[in-house]
Amino acid sequence: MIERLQDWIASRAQQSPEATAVVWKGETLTYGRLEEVSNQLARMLAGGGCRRGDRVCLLLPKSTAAIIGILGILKADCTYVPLDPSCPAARLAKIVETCGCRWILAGEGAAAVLDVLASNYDFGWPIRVGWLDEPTRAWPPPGENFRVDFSLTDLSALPGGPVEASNGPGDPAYIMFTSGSTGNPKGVVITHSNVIHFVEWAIPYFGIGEAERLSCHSPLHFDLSVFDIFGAFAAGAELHLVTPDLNVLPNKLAGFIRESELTQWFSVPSALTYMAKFDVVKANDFPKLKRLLWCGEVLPVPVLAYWMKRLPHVTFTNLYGPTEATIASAYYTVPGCPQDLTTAIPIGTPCAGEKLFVLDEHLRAVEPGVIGHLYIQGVGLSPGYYKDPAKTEEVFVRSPFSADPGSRIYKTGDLARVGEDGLVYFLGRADSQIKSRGHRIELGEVSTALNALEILRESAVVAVPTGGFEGATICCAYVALPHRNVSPAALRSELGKALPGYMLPTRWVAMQELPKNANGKIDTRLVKEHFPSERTL
Amino acid sequence: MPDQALYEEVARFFSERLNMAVSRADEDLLDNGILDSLAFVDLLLYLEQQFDIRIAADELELEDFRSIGKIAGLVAAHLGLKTAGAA
Repeated sequence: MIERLQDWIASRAQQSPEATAVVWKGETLTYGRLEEVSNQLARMLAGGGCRRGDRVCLLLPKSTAAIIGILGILKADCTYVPLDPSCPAARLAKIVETCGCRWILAGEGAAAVLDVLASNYDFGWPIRVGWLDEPTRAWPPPGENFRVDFSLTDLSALPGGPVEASNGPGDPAYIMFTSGSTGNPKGVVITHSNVIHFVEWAIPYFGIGEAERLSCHSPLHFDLSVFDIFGAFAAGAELHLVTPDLNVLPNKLAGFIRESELTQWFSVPSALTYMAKFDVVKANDFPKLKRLLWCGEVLPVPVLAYWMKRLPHVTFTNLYGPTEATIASAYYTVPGCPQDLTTAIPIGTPCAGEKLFVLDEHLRAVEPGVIGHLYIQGVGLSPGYYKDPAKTEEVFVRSPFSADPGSRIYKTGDLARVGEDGLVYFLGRADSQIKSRGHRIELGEVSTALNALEILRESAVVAVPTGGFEGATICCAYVALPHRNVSPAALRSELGKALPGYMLPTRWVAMQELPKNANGKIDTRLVKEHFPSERTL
Repeated sequence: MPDQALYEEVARFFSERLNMAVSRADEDLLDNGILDSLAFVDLLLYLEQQFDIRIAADELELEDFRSIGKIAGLVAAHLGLKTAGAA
């Protein structure tokens, strides 16, 4: 087994330097070139003061340069922190501050938000910027308040030979920030070893080979992208980056799979449902496709049947797992097209090195068929939340099933049961976290941001299933402060300065008073009744 | 001017139904992430119902939805086709 994620690329670059590693917007990058440029970037970062364990933020849209960025950061013995360039600066600033990033690798498409970060926030230390774009494109970058320390062109002056690593399997590889219920995003730390174990299980299980073409559909700040990237590089396959604007049009997503001749499409159920809704998949479409994987949400069975009927040559696998347990912890390969559209698709059985437990409130295993809390133990478990021991201790608890005091289980917050078939079935959340179009959202973070606007007397944020492709829709009922006339459009616009678009409520109701229960608390059940399902498309 | 009326109609849908403030006819809805898949489904349903047009799934082009001006142009083209077909 390799020790670090970047070791896969080094060995591929040695074996077949001319093989294609990354394809993006018609451009290709070979393994040899990827290895060379990422080595140069690692040297640049080390020369800029980056040391083992330092966090380096990545603030650029998914691109060849972003992939080079990830590898360069790892080769500099550092931890990459992928930031969503479409996220408002206020939320990004919290992340930069929490993880103490001194370097940001940025590029085209992120200049505006970087400019706001640099001018409006004082982190107590200077932010240094590596511009991962050619100077010929938008040079100098259109920001006025940040200075660029180097660009992609400057790297060519540095040696491209192997960089000696001092980090090891237990060092953090990345920190991904997820929605936090109290308003601050939580940083999940994941080590090289966490990822290596998953990829080493997945490659033989799925039989991913050298000549394959794998999708990278998930954004880089979602951990599904980690499997796309390192699964492809471990197998010596081609990684095909899907640009985010394709997500708007279902026929363009289908066209991408078809024209790139993908062999693997790894996506989220909302995208698969979206494509099915518009019926953009033809009979026996995507002849090169071998497997289709999804993760992050429940895929409606009628949608699964739609895909399986049209693509009889493809294997369909449901993956399950929170970011805290690295990419996925359980899998279920669907044996045949479901005949009964009301049957549930299980999350299945644990991946190698993982265990799933369904437990009661006293951490005792419940009987098969009984609903309990889902816990995960094993090689994928994160060391915890970055600089947040309290939150870490809340959900990473000592395993009652091991004599080893260091053995931990992770409380997912998901409800589950073990079926008569021995497989695990997901049954929803035990708290107010929701999934909307693959995004994991704590409604508490939305409420906190709304309250911070100080223009509402009170508000309630609820999630309502619409029956649409997106899963749950976020809805907000509010009461404006006296003598304030607040329109939903104005509220949404204000809130958009604090939260990314996918967290903004899509439906709003202004009220005189929010419904309360006998204890004087907002009755969310009654609030939900103000948002009936109405979409018919 | 019919195009201006169409533009205003589509702009009103963005502000009143999607609660999204769009300041200019040529503001980029895709690069700015204003138009995502969720808004797109509502938009398409609205266009088809409001203007009695049918936009086939395999004819969807990103450029037609890049701005409110472009969307109004798409509607105008479909309305033109419809009129031509009826004539």
